[in-house]
Amino acid sequence: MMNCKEITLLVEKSKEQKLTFMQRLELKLHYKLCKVCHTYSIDSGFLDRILKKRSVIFKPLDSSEKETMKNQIEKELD
Amino acid sequence: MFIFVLNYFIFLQLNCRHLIQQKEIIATWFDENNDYLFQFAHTKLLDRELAKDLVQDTFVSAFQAIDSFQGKSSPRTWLISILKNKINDYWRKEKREQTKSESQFFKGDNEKGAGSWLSDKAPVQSIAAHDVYIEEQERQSDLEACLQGLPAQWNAIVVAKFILEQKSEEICNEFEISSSNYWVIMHRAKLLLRDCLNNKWF
Repeated sequence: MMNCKEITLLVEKSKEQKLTFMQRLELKLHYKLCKVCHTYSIDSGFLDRILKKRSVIFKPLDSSEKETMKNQIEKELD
Repeated sequence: MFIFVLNYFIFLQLNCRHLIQQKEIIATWFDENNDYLFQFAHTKLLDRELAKDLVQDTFVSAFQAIDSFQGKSSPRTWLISILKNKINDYWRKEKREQTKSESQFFKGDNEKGAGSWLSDKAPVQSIAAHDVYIEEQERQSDLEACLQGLPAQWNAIVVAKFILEQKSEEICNEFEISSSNYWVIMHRAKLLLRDCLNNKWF
């Protein structure tokens, strides 16, 4: 029998790997007995959704930033 | 004697011209590649100032090692490989300093009930269920704050997986980690994020 640490790791793996029949069975059984791990699996799915939706703000370098960098590099080359 | 001095003078002048040429090459490479390198570094590091610093260092290192550039690959490929090394060095250094990720969620292997949840870390309430009470903007800023609490490399791995949608094998190669290490990181990152949002929302 897997403990909660192993079960929650399996929850993460199940998102990229196909679990064996026994693994799936053990996961289902564990959820029935352990509400906390069940909640973890729900929250883990929720985290996946909000992490995918996250927008990373990227602003390209503006010309003054480039100028400063170029000057800095030239200074270091001397 | 005269010939010797003249030779030396010519040598100096040539050497000087050589250096000037190399500086010009670096300047051209900078103009042609800074956007690309900066975006690459920013995607990995999510830190504007740090990305700028490492891109800058890349060109300084490129200048110092320019004799080893044989033109077998494009300057851009060569520069990217230098930048990648700089990013990996930064992560290695950061890994040594990280203590943030040490907190425990489960009972240790030598304790009774090894691997079961520690009572104060167990997800008793669901953050997913509580989400309906949280404003979109608040959720976003809470998530960003919690991500900041992760080690920098983990943060980059989360970006690679969820935003760049890279496959786990790709991520393992790029970050030089084993597949089991990848799963440990993913597991701990999720536990830490869940716990952090839980503390903010309840």
